[in-house]
Amino acid sequence: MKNKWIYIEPTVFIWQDSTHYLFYNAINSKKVFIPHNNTINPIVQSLCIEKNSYCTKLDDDISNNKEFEEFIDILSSNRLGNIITCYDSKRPVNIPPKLILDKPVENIKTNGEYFDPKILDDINELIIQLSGNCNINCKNCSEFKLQLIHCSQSEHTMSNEKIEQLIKQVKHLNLKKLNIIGGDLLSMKKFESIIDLLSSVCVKKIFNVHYHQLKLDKIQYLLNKDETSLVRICVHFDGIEQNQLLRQIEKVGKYNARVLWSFIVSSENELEFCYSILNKCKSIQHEIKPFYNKNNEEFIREFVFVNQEDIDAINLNKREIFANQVLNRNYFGKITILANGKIFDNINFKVAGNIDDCLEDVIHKIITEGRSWRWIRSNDICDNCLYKLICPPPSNLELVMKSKVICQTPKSYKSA
Amino acid sequence: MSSIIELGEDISYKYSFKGKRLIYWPQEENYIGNMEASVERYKSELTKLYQSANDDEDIHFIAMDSQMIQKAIDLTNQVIFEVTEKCNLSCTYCALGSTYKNVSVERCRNMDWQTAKSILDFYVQKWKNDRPKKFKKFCYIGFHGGEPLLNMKLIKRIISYIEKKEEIKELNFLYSMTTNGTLLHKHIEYLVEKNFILHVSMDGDREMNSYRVDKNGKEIYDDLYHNLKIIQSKYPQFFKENVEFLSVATNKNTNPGITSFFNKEFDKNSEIHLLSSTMVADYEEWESMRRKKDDTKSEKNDNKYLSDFLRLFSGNFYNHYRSLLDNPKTVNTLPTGTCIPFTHRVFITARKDIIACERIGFERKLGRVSDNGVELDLISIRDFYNNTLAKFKLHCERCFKKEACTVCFLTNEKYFDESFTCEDFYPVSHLKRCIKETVNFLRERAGKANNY
Repeated sequence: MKNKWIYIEPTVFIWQDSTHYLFYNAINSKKVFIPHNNTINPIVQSLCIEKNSYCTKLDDDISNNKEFEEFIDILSSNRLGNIITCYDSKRPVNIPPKLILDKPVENIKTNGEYFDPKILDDINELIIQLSGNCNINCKNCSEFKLQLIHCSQSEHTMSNEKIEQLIKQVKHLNLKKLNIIGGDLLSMKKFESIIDLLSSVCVKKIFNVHYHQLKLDKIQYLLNKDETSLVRICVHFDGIEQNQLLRQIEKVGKYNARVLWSFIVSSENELEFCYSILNKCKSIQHEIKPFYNKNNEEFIREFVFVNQEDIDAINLNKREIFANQVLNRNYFGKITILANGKIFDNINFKVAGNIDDCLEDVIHKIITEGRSWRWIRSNDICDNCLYKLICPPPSNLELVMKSKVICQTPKSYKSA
Repeated sequence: MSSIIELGEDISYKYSFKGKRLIYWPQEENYIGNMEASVERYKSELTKLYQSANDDEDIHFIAMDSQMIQKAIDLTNQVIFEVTEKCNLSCTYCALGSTYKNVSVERCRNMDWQTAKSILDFYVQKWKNDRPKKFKKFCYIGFHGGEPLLNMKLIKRIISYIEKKEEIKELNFLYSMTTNGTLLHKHIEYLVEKNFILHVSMDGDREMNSYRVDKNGKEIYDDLYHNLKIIQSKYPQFFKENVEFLSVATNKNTNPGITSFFNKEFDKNSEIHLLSSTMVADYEEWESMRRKKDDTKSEKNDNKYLSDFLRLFSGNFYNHYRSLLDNPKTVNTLPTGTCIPFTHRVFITARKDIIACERIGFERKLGRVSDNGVELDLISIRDFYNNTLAKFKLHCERCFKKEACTVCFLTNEKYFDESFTCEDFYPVSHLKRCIKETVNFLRERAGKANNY
């Protein structure tokens, strides 16, 4: 005899809190909230039992239940699942999206060897500060680096010998990106020889320079020397003149394809200023980076924090959801080495090591100590939120603002 | 290769290979209520959805270039020396015995010091220059034979040379040896002092181990067992941490039998290998001794189809944290599972030949140690690999296990024939079988769990 079955598509995640279920289909990003009720609860529970393989048999009399009818309508209209009739032996069996990680072990074997001999392959982006020397004295100088990849002033400069040694090692990493920061990078002694050394590393390099420290001849040198390099020019809007900025943009115009203008904004006024510049220079490559200056919480909350509209627009595939379960997609694989030799996985976290340490030990420490690489939404607010695995990963902005969340009204999610 | 694979009406599933998704595909008679009216629309939308998914991946096969080989050479941190060709045993299934073609001349040489020194100097230079102390903390020096304990003089000299090298004193060297264990009692103090990892070849109890015999055909089980028990009692910590066992799966043993023996006698497990299929000379003899690959697999897994499906085809399996970050639409890779030579290790024979790995035939030499030092011609190595890999490419493109291939073309001389077939080729029929068996298993499992 044929029976009725309900099944869930294998790309659908089911999360629940004390009042709602959230069904998220990783293939079309459909997000559907369904409130708990006595009809649905036992069905969802049964669907989620591993041996039932996302499918469960239905009682004959359930079809006339209004709550059940609505549930099925929602599932089928959003392509989350369906109801069918078939023999027991032909029932659907779907494999739910459940991460299987082959080598989650980060321990060291008894002889001191790592379980993962390619542990250094975890590093995908390196940020190296060659020098902290700078004479601009920007307001908020020490704060920028806590939120952005940004130059910062210090009394340290890496010796050429150290730089050479470091570059030699970098060649052996499987980097996707190498960020170079100062101080005043373009005024460094032996700038050309450093660029020559760096050009031997076959990876995309981004040289981060401050708008007030542009030196066209140096930019020309480094762009000509190395086809994989890019210059990011950061612009703060405090005390800047529009015409002066436009002139500078024009001057570097011939390198447009390899120059990225990074506008750092802290207020609506600065944002408007930024848009007026962009209206006049439509062809430039640019990014707009919000910056929390301790006095603009309202601006950040409005323009950066995610709202329901942002959440609705999130489009993560299965792999990205899996990643959010175990690591931080913002920071995993990133390493910062400051001019004083200190190594950070994230500048807001404790020092992870020193340039003279064994890098494998440093990476091992970063992975095992639950630092920024594995910083996930597990605090008391996010942990209870149904969106915690699709929400953007925790970020430095939340740290510097001392906020546990990056959403405008986390409570509203539960009652959505 | 089609992205969506039809599995037939009897199973009611389709499979999206690029997206790694098993899609339930009910027949029209399965729909109920008002769904019937929209069956076609539902199916059409579902097809569109699965075909436009944003996480599909495809594999593109590329050729090897000499930079890849150079990088692998620079990064090699494991050097294995065949310190001697001599052996005090004559095991029936030995890869250097009469069943195989590896031996064209009598194997009676010891490696000379100058060969070992040239290799050490070559790598010390690399480890010193290219890999400063912050990188690659560990370097592995392995000793193979023949029976390596027959040339302890050279082993000691190599270790002494490494220990005296100022340039590499920051590195940690780990020494290992693959031995038949019959001479361990003579050298164990030194091996313990240097913290050797010992891989002892033993196939189980007396009967299971009976292919392992001395020159007179006498079984060595008693001597070996005695040696091991002495080490276990005299150096319990060393035995516990440094002694590992290697067993060969033959017609005289079974995996559970081997596991049970080592658990009971030594509180250990053994790594079980198949009989080498490289350079077989006498196939009749070889067939009589070997245990089929499937036998070893089925003993390990309750349901090997489900296990294979989850690992290869579910889209739920990832190797490392870092693999969760990659999301390329196209993965560039070499055909087969063959390593870029020297990626993991380099093997130096007593006859001064440089081979990619100790597991492959000695005829597949890639370079040589001469009076001038290490001679490696990257262009000819590249061409040698690419010529064979190009032949494989046609197979690999149609293979459904290509992402997880473990075939090394150097391990089977059949792959050098003009018309070969890949023994691990996984056609669509295998994939369909794997899915059908998985679905049937899951249906049965659900039935049992729910008593219907």
